[in-house]
Amino acid sequence: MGLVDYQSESSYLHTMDPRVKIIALLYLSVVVFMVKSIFVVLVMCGIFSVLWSSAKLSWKSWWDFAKVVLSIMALIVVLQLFFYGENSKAHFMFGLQLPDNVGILSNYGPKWEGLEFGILLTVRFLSLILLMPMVIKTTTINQMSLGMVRLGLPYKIAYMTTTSLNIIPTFQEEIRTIMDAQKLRGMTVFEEGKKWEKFVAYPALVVPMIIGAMRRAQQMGVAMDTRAFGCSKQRTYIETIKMKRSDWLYLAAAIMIGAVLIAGNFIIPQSIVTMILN
Amino acid sequence: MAETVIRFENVHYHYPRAKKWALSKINLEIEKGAFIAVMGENGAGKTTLCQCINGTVPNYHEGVLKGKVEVLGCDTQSCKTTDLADKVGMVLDDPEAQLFTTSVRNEVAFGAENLCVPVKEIFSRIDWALDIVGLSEYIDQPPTALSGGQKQRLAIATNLAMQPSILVLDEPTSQLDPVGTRDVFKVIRELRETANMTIVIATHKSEEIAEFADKVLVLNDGHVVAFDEPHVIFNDAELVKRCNIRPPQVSELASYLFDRGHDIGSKPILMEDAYEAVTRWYAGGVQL
Repeated sequence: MGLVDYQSESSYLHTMDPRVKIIALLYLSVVVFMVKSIFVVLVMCGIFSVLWSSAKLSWKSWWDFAKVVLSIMALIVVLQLFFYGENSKAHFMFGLQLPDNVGILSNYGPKWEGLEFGILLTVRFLSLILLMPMVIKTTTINQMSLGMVRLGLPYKIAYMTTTSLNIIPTFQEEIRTIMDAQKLRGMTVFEEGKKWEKFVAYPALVVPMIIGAMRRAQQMGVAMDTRAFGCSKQRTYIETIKMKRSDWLYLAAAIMIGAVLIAGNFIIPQSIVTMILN
Repeated sequence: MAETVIRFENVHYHYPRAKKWALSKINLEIEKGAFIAVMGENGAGKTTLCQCINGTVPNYHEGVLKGKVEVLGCDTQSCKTTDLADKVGMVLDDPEAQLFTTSVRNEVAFGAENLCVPVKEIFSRIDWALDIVGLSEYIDQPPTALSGGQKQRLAIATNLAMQPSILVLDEPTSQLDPVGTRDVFKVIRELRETANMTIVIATHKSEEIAEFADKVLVLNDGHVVAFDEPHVIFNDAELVKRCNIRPPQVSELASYLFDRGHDIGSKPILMEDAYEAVTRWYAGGVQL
Protein backbone atom coordinates (compact mmCIF):
# COMPACT_ATOMS: atom_id res chain seq x y z
CA MET A 1 0.00 0.00 0.00
CA GLY A 2 1.57 3.28 -1.12
CA LEU A 3 1.08 6.75 0.25
CA VAL A 4 -1.16 8.09 -2.51
CA ASP A 5 -3.43 5.18 -3.42
CA TYR A 6 -7.00 5.05 -2.19
CA GLN A 7 -7.45 2.97 0.98
CA SER A 8 -10.96 1.65 1.38
CA GLU A 9 -12.11 2.00 4.99
CA SER A 10 -15.24 3.03 6.82
CA SER A 11 -14.34 6.26 8.55
CA TYR A 12 -15.97 9.69 8.70
CA LEU A 13 -13.15 11.02 6.49
CA HIS A 14 -14.05 8.49 3.79
CA THR A 15 -17.69 9.58 3.77
CA MET A 16 -16.95 13.31 3.97
CA ASP A 17 -17.82 15.44 0.94
CA PRO A 18 -14.67 15.74 -1.23
CA ARG A 19 -15.15 19.52 -1.48
CA VAL A 20 -14.71 19.86 2.29
CA LYS A 21 -11.53 17.80 2.12
CA ILE A 22 -10.11 19.79 -0.80
CA ILE A 23 -10.90 23.17 0.81
CA ALA A 24 -9.53 22.04 4.19
CA LEU A 25 -6.41 20.69 2.50
CA LEU A 26 -5.67 23.95 0.69
CA TYR A 27 -6.51 26.11 3.73
CA LEU A 28 -4.51 24.10 6.28
CA SER A 29 -1.54 23.78 3.88
CA VAL A 30 -1.38 27.58 3.80
CA VAL A 31 -1.73 27.72 7.59
CA VAL A 32 1.17 25.26 8.03
CA PHE A 33 3.44 27.67 6.17
CA MET A 34 1.98 30.79 7.77
CA VAL A 35 2.70 29.81 11.35
CA LYS A 36 6.26 30.36 12.48
CA SER A 37 6.08 29.04 16.01
CA ILE A 38 7.46 25.54 16.33
CA PHE A 39 4.97 24.91 19.17
CA VAL A 40 2.01 25.67 16.91
CA VAL A 41 3.38 23.56 14.04
CA LEU A 42 3.88 20.67 16.46
CA VAL A 43 0.26 21.06 17.61
CA MET A 44 -0.86 20.96 13.94
CA CYS A 45 1.24 17.85 13.33
CA GLY A 46 -0.39 16.29 16.41
CA ILE A 47 -3.91 17.13 15.17
CA PHE A 48 -3.16 15.63 11.75
CA SER A 49 -1.75 12.49 13.41
CA VAL A 50 -4.97 12.04 15.39
CA LEU A 51 -7.03 12.50 12.20
CA TRP A 52 -4.79 10.00 10.37
CA SER A 53 -5.33 7.39 13.08
CA SER A 54 -9.06 8.03 13.25
CA ALA A 55 -9.33 7.46 9.47
CA LYS A 56 -7.74 4.03 10.04
CA LEU A 57 -4.95 4.79 7.58
CA SER A 58 -1.73 2.83 7.48
CA TRP A 59 1.09 4.30 9.58
CA LYS A 60 3.56 2.00 7.85
CA SER A 61 2.96 3.56 4.43
CA TRP A 62 3.38 7.01 6.05
CA TRP A 63 6.59 6.04 7.82
CA ASP A 64 8.07 4.53 4.60
CA PHE A 65 7.64 7.90 2.90
CA ALA A 66 8.56 9.91 6.02
CA LYS A 67 11.93 8.14 6.11
CA VAL A 68 12.74 9.52 2.64
CA VAL A 69 11.53 13.00 3.63
CA LEU A 70 13.54 12.88 6.87
CA SER A 71 16.74 11.95 5.04
CA ILE A 72 16.28 14.95 2.71
CA MET A 73 15.31 17.21 5.61
CA ALA A 74 18.43 16.12 7.54
CA LEU A 75 20.49 17.74 4.79
CA ILE A 76 18.35 20.89 4.95
CA VAL A 77 18.74 21.04 8.75
CA VAL A 78 22.53 20.88 8.37
CA LEU A 79 22.48 23.64 5.73
CA GLN A 80 20.22 25.80 7.91
CA LEU A 81 22.43 25.13 10.90
CA PHE A 82 25.43 26.72 9.20
CA PHE A 83 23.93 29.24 6.81
CA TYR A 84 20.93 30.64 8.73
CA GLY A 85 20.50 34.36 9.33
CA GLU A 86 22.85 37.24 9.95
CA ASN A 87 25.77 37.14 12.33
CA SER A 88 24.50 40.00 14.47
CA LYS A 89 21.09 38.42 15.08
CA ALA A 90 21.99 34.79 15.62
CA HIS A 91 23.37 32.86 18.58
CA PHE A 92 26.36 30.74 17.66
CA MET A 93 26.58 27.30 19.27
CA PHE A 94 29.27 27.00 21.94
CA GLY A 95 30.89 30.22 20.71
CA LEU A 96 31.94 28.57 17.46
CA GLN A 97 32.21 31.80 15.49
CA LEU A 98 35.00 32.65 13.09
CA PRO A 99 36.88 35.92 13.81
CA ASP A 100 35.72 39.10 12.13
CA ASN A 101 38.89 39.37 10.04
CA VAL A 102 37.73 36.48 7.74
CA GLY A 103 35.14 38.81 6.23
CA ILE A 104 31.83 37.32 5.08
CA LEU A 105 32.81 33.86 6.35
CA SER A 106 32.41 35.11 9.91
CA ASN A 107 28.61 35.11 9.30
CA TYR A 108 28.59 31.35 8.93
CA GLY A 109 28.81 28.81 11.68
CA PRO A 110 26.53 26.51 13.70
CA LYS A 111 23.67 28.59 15.10
CA TRP A 112 20.85 27.68 17.49
CA GLU A 113 18.36 29.61 15.35
CA GLY A 114 19.44 27.65 12.26
CA LEU A 115 18.88 24.35 14.06
CA GLU A 116 15.46 25.54 15.24
CA PHE A 117 14.45 26.73 11.76
CA GLY A 118 15.60 23.45 10.21
CA ILE A 119 13.48 21.50 12.70
CA LEU A 120 10.52 23.83 12.03
CA LEU A 121 10.80 23.12 8.29
CA THR A 122 11.00 19.38 8.98
CA VAL A 123 7.88 19.38 11.16
CA ARG A 124 6.07 21.45 8.50
CA PHE A 125 6.88 18.86 5.83
CA LEU A 126 5.93 15.98 8.12
CA SER A 127 2.59 17.75 8.71
CA LEU A 128 2.07 18.12 4.97
CA ILE A 129 2.83 14.47 4.25
CA LEU A 130 0.17 13.63 6.81
CA LEU A 131 -2.37 16.11 5.47
CA MET A 132 -2.14 15.56 1.70
CA PRO A 133 -2.15 11.74 1.63
CA MET A 134 -4.94 11.81 4.23
CA VAL A 135 -7.17 13.46 1.64
CA ILE A 136 -5.96 11.37 -1.29
CA LYS A 137 -6.14 8.05 0.57
CA THR A 138 -9.71 8.64 1.73
CA THR A 139 -11.15 9.87 -1.60
CA THR A 140 -11.64 7.87 -4.80
CA ILE A 141 -10.40 9.57 -7.97
CA ASN A 142 -13.95 9.92 -9.22
CA GLN A 143 -15.06 11.64 -6.03
CA MET A 144 -11.96 13.83 -6.08
CA SER A 145 -12.41 14.96 -9.68
CA LEU A 146 -16.13 15.48 -9.11
CA GLY A 147 -15.31 17.60 -6.05
CA MET A 148 -12.84 19.67 -8.06
CA VAL A 149 -15.37 20.18 -10.86
CA ARG A 150 -18.06 21.24 -8.39
CA LEU A 151 -15.57 23.74 -6.97
CA GLY A 152 -15.23 25.27 -10.42
CA LEU A 153 -12.13 23.60 -11.84
CA PRO A 154 -12.47 22.60 -15.54
CA TYR A 155 -13.28 18.92 -15.80
CA LYS A 156 -10.27 18.13 -18.02
CA ILE A 157 -7.81 19.62 -15.52
CA ALA A 158 -9.59 17.98 -12.57
CA TYR A 159 -9.46 14.56 -14.19
CA MET A 160 -5.85 14.89 -15.33
CA THR A 161 -4.82 15.88 -11.78
CA THR A 162 -6.53 12.96 -10.13
CA THR A 163 -5.42 10.49 -12.80
CA SER A 164 -1.80 11.53 -12.37
CA LEU A 165 -2.14 10.81 -8.65
CA ASN A 166 -3.65 7.44 -9.44
CA ILE A 167 -0.77 6.54 -11.75
CA ILE A 168 1.94 6.95 -9.09
CA PRO A 169 1.38 3.44 -7.64
CA THR A 170 1.64 2.08 -11.19
CA PHE A 171 5.04 3.71 -11.56
CA GLN A 172 6.13 2.31 -8.20
CA GLU A 173 5.16 -1.13 -9.46
CA GLU A 174 7.05 -0.50 -12.71
CA ILE A 175 10.19 0.53 -10.80
CA ARG A 176 10.04 -2.72 -8.86
CA THR A 177 9.72 -4.68 -12.14
CA ILE A 178 12.69 -2.83 -13.67
CA MET A 179 14.70 -3.43 -10.50
CA ASP A 180 13.94 -7.17 -10.71
CA ALA A 181 14.87 -7.19 -14.41
CA GLN A 182 18.20 -5.48 -13.66
CA LYS A 183 18.86 -7.96 -10.84
CA LEU A 184 18.29 -10.85 -13.26
CA ARG A 185 21.00 -9.31 -15.46
CA GLY A 186 23.40 -9.44 -12.55
CA MET A 187 23.00 -5.88 -11.25
CA THR A 188 23.18 -6.31 -7.49
CA VAL A 189 24.16 -2.74 -6.62
CA PHE A 190 20.72 -1.92 -5.17
CA GLU A 191 21.02 -4.80 -2.71
CA GLU A 192 24.71 -4.90 -1.91
CA GLY A 193 26.15 -1.60 -3.12
CA LYS A 194 27.19 1.41 -1.09
CA LYS A 195 25.07 4.54 -1.11
CA TRP A 196 27.12 6.38 -3.72
CA GLU A 197 27.19 3.25 -5.92
CA LYS A 198 23.39 3.14 -5.73
CA PHE A 199 23.26 6.81 -6.59
CA VAL A 200 25.48 6.31 -9.66
CA ALA A 201 23.37 3.29 -10.73
CA TYR A 202 20.05 5.14 -10.59
CA PRO A 203 19.97 5.95 -14.35
CA ALA A 204 19.62 2.21 -14.97
CA LEU A 205 16.28 2.44 -13.14
CA VAL A 206 15.14 5.91 -14.06
CA VAL A 207 15.78 5.82 -17.84
CA PRO A 208 13.65 2.70 -18.54
CA MET A 209 11.01 4.06 -16.17
CA ILE A 210 10.78 7.38 -18.03
CA ILE A 211 10.61 5.62 -21.41
CA GLY A 212 7.93 3.26 -20.04
CA ALA A 213 6.04 6.19 -18.52
CA MET A 214 6.03 8.07 -21.83
CA ARG A 215 4.77 5.01 -23.70
CA ARG A 216 2.10 4.39 -21.07
CA ALA A 217 1.04 8.05 -21.11
CA GLN A 218 0.66 7.92 -24.90
CA GLN A 219 -1.39 4.71 -24.76
CA MET A 220 -3.53 6.10 -21.98
CA GLY A 221 -4.08 9.27 -24.00
CA VAL A 222 -5.27 7.20 -26.96
CA ALA A 223 -7.51 5.11 -24.68
CA MET A 224 -9.02 8.23 -23.09
CA ASP A 225 -9.60 9.96 -26.44
CA THR A 226 -11.19 6.78 -27.76
CA ARG A 227 -13.61 7.01 -24.86
CA ALA A 228 -14.53 10.60 -25.72
CA PHE A 229 -12.52 12.26 -22.95
CA GLY A 230 -13.03 16.00 -23.20
CA CYS A 231 -15.36 15.82 -26.23
CA SER A 232 -17.56 18.45 -24.58
CA LYS A 233 -17.22 20.84 -21.66
CA GLN A 234 -20.07 19.17 -19.80
CA ARG A 235 -20.36 15.55 -18.80
CA THR A 236 -22.60 13.43 -16.64
CA TYR A 237 -21.48 11.67 -13.47
CA ILE A 238 -22.86 8.43 -12.13
CA GLU A 239 -21.65 9.44 -8.69
CA THR A 240 -23.20 12.36 -6.89
CA ILE A 241 -21.98 14.49 -4.02
CA LYS A 242 -24.12 16.51 -1.66
CA MET A 243 -23.05 18.63 1.27
CA LYS A 244 -24.58 17.14 4.39
CA ARG A 245 -25.02 18.95 7.67
CA SER A 246 -22.02 17.09 9.09
CA ASP A 247 -19.91 18.25 6.12
CA TRP A 248 -20.70 21.89 6.90
CA LEU A 249 -19.72 21.24 10.52
CA TYR A 250 -16.42 19.63 9.48
CA LEU A 251 -15.68 22.59 7.20
CA ALA A 252 -16.45 25.06 9.99
CA ALA A 253 -14.26 23.05 12.39
CA ALA A 254 -11.34 23.07 9.93
CA ILE A 255 -11.64 26.84 9.46
CA MET A 256 -11.87 27.38 13.23
CA ILE A 257 -8.84 25.19 13.94
CA GLY A 258 -6.82 27.06 11.31
CA ALA A 259 -7.88 30.41 12.74
CA VAL A 260 -7.02 29.36 16.32
CA LEU A 261 -3.60 28.16 15.18
CA ILE A 262 -2.90 31.42 13.36
CA ALA A 263 -3.98 33.36 16.47
CA GLY A 264 -1.81 31.06 18.62
CA ASN A 265 1.11 31.88 16.41
CA PHE A 266 0.92 35.50 17.56
CA ILE A 267 0.45 34.66 21.25
CA ILE A 268 3.03 31.89 21.68
CA PRO A 269 6.69 32.95 21.30
CA GLN A 270 7.83 32.19 17.77
CA SER A 271 11.37 31.15 18.69
CA ILE A 272 12.26 29.10 21.78
CA VAL A 273 15.93 29.85 21.19
CA THR A 274 15.41 33.61 21.23
CA MET A 275 13.22 33.28 24.31
CA ILE A 276 15.82 31.26 26.21
CA LEU A 277 19.01 32.93 25.05
CA ASN A 278 17.84 36.53 25.30
CA MET B 1 -26.68 -4.70 -50.60
CA ALA B 2 -25.17 -3.95 -47.18
CA GLU B 3 -24.13 -0.43 -46.28
CA THR B 4 -20.41 0.38 -46.43
CA VAL B 5 -19.31 1.69 -43.02
CA ILE B 6 -15.52 1.90 -43.49
CA ARG B 7 -13.92 3.07 -46.70
CA PHE B 8 -10.19 3.49 -47.43
CA GLU B 9 -9.49 5.38 -50.66
CA ASN B 10 -5.90 5.05 -51.84
CA VAL B 11 -4.57 5.55 -48.31
CA HIS B 12 -0.85 5.96 -47.66
CA TYR B 13 0.58 6.69 -44.21
CA HIS B 14 4.12 7.58 -43.17
CA TYR B 15 5.21 7.85 -39.51
CA PRO B 16 7.52 10.73 -38.60
CA ARG B 17 11.20 9.81 -38.97
CA ALA B 18 10.29 6.41 -40.47
CA LYS B 19 12.22 5.21 -43.51
CA LYS B 20 9.25 3.79 -45.41
CA TRP B 21 5.49 4.07 -45.67
CA ALA B 22 3.63 2.14 -42.99
CA LEU B 23 0.60 1.83 -45.28
CA SER B 24 0.60 2.04 -49.07
CA LYS B 25 -2.20 2.13 -51.65
CA ILE B 26 -4.90 0.84 -49.29
CA ASN B 27 -8.27 0.57 -51.00
CA LEU B 28 -10.82 -1.12 -48.88
CA GLU B 29 -14.54 -1.25 -48.17
CA ILE B 30 -16.03 -2.91 -45.10
CA GLU B 31 -19.75 -3.52 -44.87
CA LYS B 32 -21.98 -3.06 -41.86
CA GLY B 33 -22.05 -6.09 -39.57
CA ALA B 34 -18.95 -7.71 -41.06
CA PHE B 35 -16.33 -9.49 -38.95
CA ILE B 36 -12.97 -8.71 -40.50
CA ALA B 37 -9.67 -10.13 -39.28
CA VAL B 38 -6.47 -8.29 -40.15
CA MET B 39 -3.42 -10.51 -40.42
CA GLY B 40 0.22 -10.06 -41.30
CA GLU B 41 3.60 -10.36 -39.66
CA ASN B 42 4.84 -7.82 -37.12
CA GLY B 43 5.43 -4.45 -38.79
CA ALA B 44 3.04 -5.24 -41.66
CA GLY B 45 0.81 -2.27 -40.75
CA LYS B 46 -2.03 -3.92 -38.79
CA THR B 47 -1.98 -1.47 -35.87
CA THR B 48 -1.67 1.54 -38.16
CA LEU B 49 -4.65 0.36 -40.21
CA CYS B 50 -6.71 -0.12 -37.03
CA GLN B 51 -5.72 3.31 -35.76
CA CYS B 52 -6.76 4.88 -39.08
CA ILE B 53 -10.31 3.70 -38.44
CA ASN B 54 -10.80 5.59 -35.17
CA GLY B 55 -8.77 8.60 -36.31
CA THR B 56 -5.84 8.05 -33.93
CA VAL B 57 -3.85 8.11 -37.17
CA PRO B 58 -3.37 10.89 -38.18
CA ASN B 59 -4.96 12.92 -35.34
CA TYR B 60 -2.85 11.55 -32.51
CA HIS B 61 0.34 10.50 -34.25
CA GLU B 62 2.19 12.96 -36.37
CA GLY B 63 3.00 11.84 -39.87
CA VAL B 64 1.76 12.07 -43.41
CA LEU B 65 -1.59 10.62 -44.43
CA LYS B 66 -2.51 10.62 -48.10
CA GLY B 67 -5.86 9.49 -49.42
CA LYS B 68 -9.09 9.34 -47.47
CA VAL B 69 -10.45 7.22 -44.64
CA GLU B 70 -14.20 7.50 -44.25
CA VAL B 71 -15.98 5.98 -41.28
CA LEU B 72 -19.78 6.14 -41.24
CA GLY B 73 -19.58 9.13 -43.54
CA CYS B 74 -16.96 11.01 -41.44
CA ASP B 75 -13.58 11.83 -42.90
CA THR B 76 -11.18 10.87 -40.09
CA GLN B 77 -8.81 13.69 -41.02
CA SER B 78 -11.44 16.33 -40.32
CA CYS B 79 -13.03 14.59 -37.29
CA LYS B 80 -11.32 14.40 -33.91
CA THR B 81 -10.83 10.99 -32.30
CA THR B 82 -13.19 12.10 -29.52
CA ASP B 83 -15.86 12.97 -32.12
CA LEU B 84 -15.61 9.46 -33.53
CA ALA B 85 -15.78 7.87 -30.07
CA ASP B 86 -19.52 7.15 -30.18
CA LYS B 87 -19.12 5.56 -33.63
CA VAL B 88 -15.89 3.57 -33.26
CA GLY B 89 -14.77 1.68 -30.16
CA MET B 90 -11.11 0.75 -29.89
CA VAL B 91 -9.53 -1.95 -27.75
CA LEU B 92 -5.74 -1.85 -27.47
CA ASP B 93 -3.38 -4.76 -26.99
CA ASP B 94 -2.29 -3.74 -23.48
CA PRO B 95 -5.26 -3.95 -21.11
CA GLU B 96 -3.34 -2.19 -18.31
CA ALA B 97 -2.91 1.00 -20.35
CA GLN B 98 -6.61 1.47 -21.04
CA LEU B 99 -8.00 0.99 -17.53
CA PHE B 100 -7.50 3.99 -15.29
CA THR B 101 -10.31 4.31 -12.77
CA THR B 102 -10.83 2.68 -9.38
CA SER B 103 -13.75 0.33 -10.04
CA VAL B 104 -15.17 -1.78 -12.84
CA ARG B 105 -18.40 0.26 -12.68
CA ASN B 106 -16.60 3.59 -13.09
CA GLU B 107 -14.40 2.18 -15.84
CA VAL B 108 -17.42 1.14 -17.93
CA ALA B 109 -19.26 4.38 -17.20
CA PHE B 110 -16.33 6.64 -18.16
CA GLY B 111 -17.01 6.87 -21.91
CA ALA B 112 -20.77 7.24 -21.55
CA GLU B 113 -20.28 9.97 -18.93
CA ASN B 114 -18.05 11.86 -21.37
CA LEU B 115 -20.78 11.58 -24.01
CA CYS B 116 -23.25 13.17 -21.55
CA VAL B 117 -25.50 10.13 -21.56
CA PRO B 118 -28.19 10.47 -18.84
CA VAL B 119 -27.23 8.74 -15.59
CA LYS B 120 -30.15 6.28 -15.62
CA GLU B 121 -29.25 5.21 -19.15
CA ILE B 122 -25.56 4.82 -18.14
CA PHE B 123 -26.50 2.41 -15.36
CA SER B 124 -28.53 0.25 -17.74
CA ARG B 125 -25.65 0.29 -20.24
CA ILE B 126 -23.20 -0.76 -17.50
CA ASP B 127 -25.39 -3.75 -16.64
CA TRP B 128 -25.78 -4.66 -20.31
CA ALA B 129 -22.07 -4.34 -21.17
CA LEU B 130 -20.89 -6.27 -18.10
CA ASP B 131 -23.46 -8.97 -18.73
CA ILE B 132 -22.21 -9.46 -22.28
CA VAL B 133 -18.56 -9.75 -21.23
CA GLY B 134 -19.47 -11.87 -18.19
CA LEU B 135 -18.09 -9.52 -15.53
CA SER B 136 -21.29 -8.52 -13.70
CA GLU B 137 -20.11 -10.04 -10.44
CA TYR B 138 -16.97 -7.88 -10.48
CA ILE B 139 -18.81 -4.55 -10.74
CA ASP B 140 -17.44 -3.18 -7.45
CA GLN B 141 -13.92 -4.58 -7.83
CA PRO B 142 -10.96 -2.41 -8.83
CA PRO B 143 -9.80 -3.25 -12.40
CA THR B 144 -6.35 -4.07 -11.00
CA ALA B 145 -7.85 -7.08 -9.20
CA LEU B 146 -8.91 -8.75 -12.48
CA SER B 147 -6.96 -11.35 -14.47
CA GLY B 148 -5.48 -10.54 -17.91
CA GLY B 149 -8.45 -12.04 -19.79
CA GLN B 150 -10.94 -10.30 -17.52
CA LYS B 151 -9.15 -6.97 -18.00
CA GLN B 152 -9.31 -7.35 -21.77
CA ARG B 153 -13.03 -8.21 -21.57
CA LEU B 154 -13.49 -5.17 -19.34
CA ALA B 155 -11.71 -3.05 -21.98
CA ILE B 156 -14.29 -4.30 -24.49
CA ALA B 157 -17.12 -3.48 -22.08
CA THR B 158 -15.81 0.08 -21.64
CA ASN B 159 -16.29 0.58 -25.37
CA LEU B 160 -19.68 -1.16 -25.46
CA ALA B 161 -21.14 1.31 -22.98
CA MET B 162 -20.71 3.99 -25.64
CA GLN B 163 -22.69 1.79 -28.04
CA PRO B 164 -20.44 2.23 -31.08
CA SER B 165 -21.40 0.81 -34.47
CA ILE B 166 -17.87 -0.37 -35.12
CA LEU B 167 -15.49 -2.11 -32.74
CA VAL B 168 -11.78 -2.19 -33.61
CA LEU B 169 -9.57 -4.53 -31.62
CA ASP B 170 -5.81 -4.32 -31.97
CA GLU B 171 -4.34 -7.68 -30.96
CA PRO B 172 -6.64 -7.93 -27.93
CA THR B 173 -5.54 -11.45 -27.08
CA SER B 174 -1.80 -11.07 -27.49
CA GLN B 175 -1.22 -11.32 -23.72
CA LEU B 176 -3.84 -13.96 -23.04
CA ASP B 177 -3.72 -17.72 -22.60
CA PRO B 178 -5.87 -19.98 -24.87
CA VAL B 179 -8.82 -19.90 -22.45
CA GLY B 180 -8.71 -16.09 -22.19
CA THR B 181 -8.41 -15.83 -25.98
CA ARG B 182 -11.45 -18.05 -26.46
CA ASP B 183 -13.48 -15.99 -23.98
CA VAL B 184 -12.67 -12.74 -25.77
CA PHE B 185 -13.59 -14.15 -29.19
CA LYS B 186 -16.88 -15.54 -27.83
CA VAL B 187 -17.74 -12.07 -26.53
CA ILE B 188 -16.93 -10.53 -29.91
CA ARG B 189 -19.11 -13.08 -31.71
CA GLU B 190 -21.98 -12.40 -29.34
CA LEU B 191 -21.68 -8.68 -29.98
CA ARG B 192 -21.88 -9.20 -33.65
CA GLU B 193 -24.90 -11.46 -33.34
CA THR B 194 -26.83 -9.39 -30.81
CA ALA B 195 -25.88 -5.83 -31.74
CA ASN B 196 -24.98 -6.27 -35.45
CA MET B 197 -21.71 -4.51 -34.69
CA THR B 198 -19.01 -4.28 -37.35
CA ILE B 199 -15.85 -5.91 -36.01
CA VAL B 200 -12.29 -5.30 -37.20
CA ILE B 201 -9.69 -7.29 -35.31
CA ALA B 202 -5.94 -7.43 -35.81
CA THR B 203 -4.70 -10.78 -34.56
CA HIS B 204 -2.40 -13.74 -35.19
CA LYS B 205 -4.84 -16.29 -33.72
CA SER B 206 -5.65 -18.27 -36.87
CA GLU B 207 -7.84 -20.93 -35.20
CA GLU B 208 -10.21 -18.26 -33.91
CA ILE B 209 -10.12 -16.33 -37.19
CA ALA B 210 -11.05 -19.51 -39.08
CA GLU B 211 -14.03 -20.00 -36.79
CA PHE B 212 -15.31 -16.45 -36.32
CA ALA B 213 -14.24 -14.14 -39.16
CA ASP B 214 -16.15 -13.47 -42.40
CA LYS B 215 -13.11 -12.23 -44.23
CA VAL B 216 -9.38 -11.94 -43.68
CA LEU B 217 -7.39 -8.91 -44.76
CA VAL B 218 -3.74 -9.79 -45.25
CA LEU B 219 -1.18 -7.01 -45.02
CA ASN B 220 2.42 -7.31 -46.10
CA ASP B 221 4.86 -4.44 -45.79
CA GLY B 222 1.99 -1.93 -45.64
CA HIS B 223 0.18 -3.28 -48.73
CA VAL B 224 -3.07 -5.24 -48.89
CA VAL B 225 -2.09 -8.52 -50.53
CA ALA B 226 -5.35 -10.41 -50.03
CA PHE B 227 -8.88 -9.82 -48.78
CA ASP B 228 -10.95 -12.95 -48.87
CA GLU B 229 -12.73 -15.62 -46.86
CA PRO B 230 -10.61 -17.49 -44.26
CA HIS B 231 -10.59 -20.84 -46.11
CA VAL B 232 -9.31 -19.14 -49.29
CA ILE B 233 -6.55 -17.33 -47.40
CA PHE B 234 -5.39 -20.26 -45.27
CA ASN B 235 -5.38 -22.68 -48.20
CA ASP B 236 -3.21 -20.41 -50.35
CA ALA B 237 0.15 -21.97 -49.47
CA GLU B 238 2.19 -19.40 -51.40
CA LEU B 239 0.43 -16.44 -49.72
CA VAL B 240 0.69 -17.95 -46.26
CA LYS B 241 4.42 -18.54 -46.71
CA ARG B 242 5.14 -15.13 -48.29
CA CYS B 243 3.27 -13.18 -45.60
CA ASN B 244 4.50 -15.31 -42.69
CA ILE B 245 1.01 -16.25 -41.57
CA ARG B 246 0.49 -19.32 -39.45
CA PRO B 247 -2.58 -21.19 -40.74
CA PRO B 248 -4.78 -23.21 -38.34
CA GLN B 249 -3.13 -26.41 -37.16
CA VAL B 250 -5.70 -28.59 -38.93
CA SER B 251 -4.78 -26.87 -42.22
CA GLU B 252 -1.13 -27.54 -41.55
CA LEU B 253 -1.92 -31.19 -40.86
CA ALA B 254 -3.91 -31.50 -44.10
CA SER B 255 -1.05 -29.90 -46.09
CA TYR B 256 1.49 -32.14 -44.35
CA LEU B 257 -0.48 -35.24 -45.33
CA PHE B 258 -1.06 -33.96 -48.86
CA ASP B 259 2.68 -33.28 -49.35
CA ARG B 260 3.31 -36.91 -48.42
CA GLY B 261 0.80 -38.22 -50.92
CA HIS B 262 -2.25 -38.56 -48.65
CA ASP B 263 -5.14 -36.50 -49.93
CA ILE B 264 -7.84 -36.37 -47.25
CA GLY B 265 -10.28 -35.00 -49.81
CA SER B 266 -10.63 -31.39 -48.61
CA LYS B 267 -8.65 -28.56 -47.09
CA PRO B 268 -10.23 -28.01 -43.66
CA ILE B 269 -9.60 -24.94 -41.53
CA LEU B 270 -11.93 -25.91 -38.68
CA MET B 271 -11.54 -28.80 -36.28
CA GLU B 272 -15.01 -30.19 -37.07
CA ASP B 273 -14.34 -30.17 -40.83
CA ALA B 274 -10.96 -31.80 -40.27
CA TYR B 275 -12.58 -34.48 -38.12
CA GLU B 276 -15.11 -35.29 -40.85
CA ALA B 277 -12.47 -35.28 -43.60
CA VAL B 278 -10.11 -37.53 -41.66
CA THR B 279 -12.95 -39.89 -40.67
CA ARG B 280 -14.00 -40.19 -44.33
CA TRP B 281 -10.40 -40.70 -45.32
CA TYR B 282 -9.99 -43.53 -42.77
CA ALA B 283 -13.28 -45.09 -43.86
CA GLY B 284 -12.01 -45.12 -47.43
CA GLY B 285 -9.13 -47.36 -46.40
CA VAL B 286 -5.90 -45.58 -45.56
CA GLN B 287 -2.68 -46.92 -47.01
CA LEU B 288 0.23 -45.54 -44.97
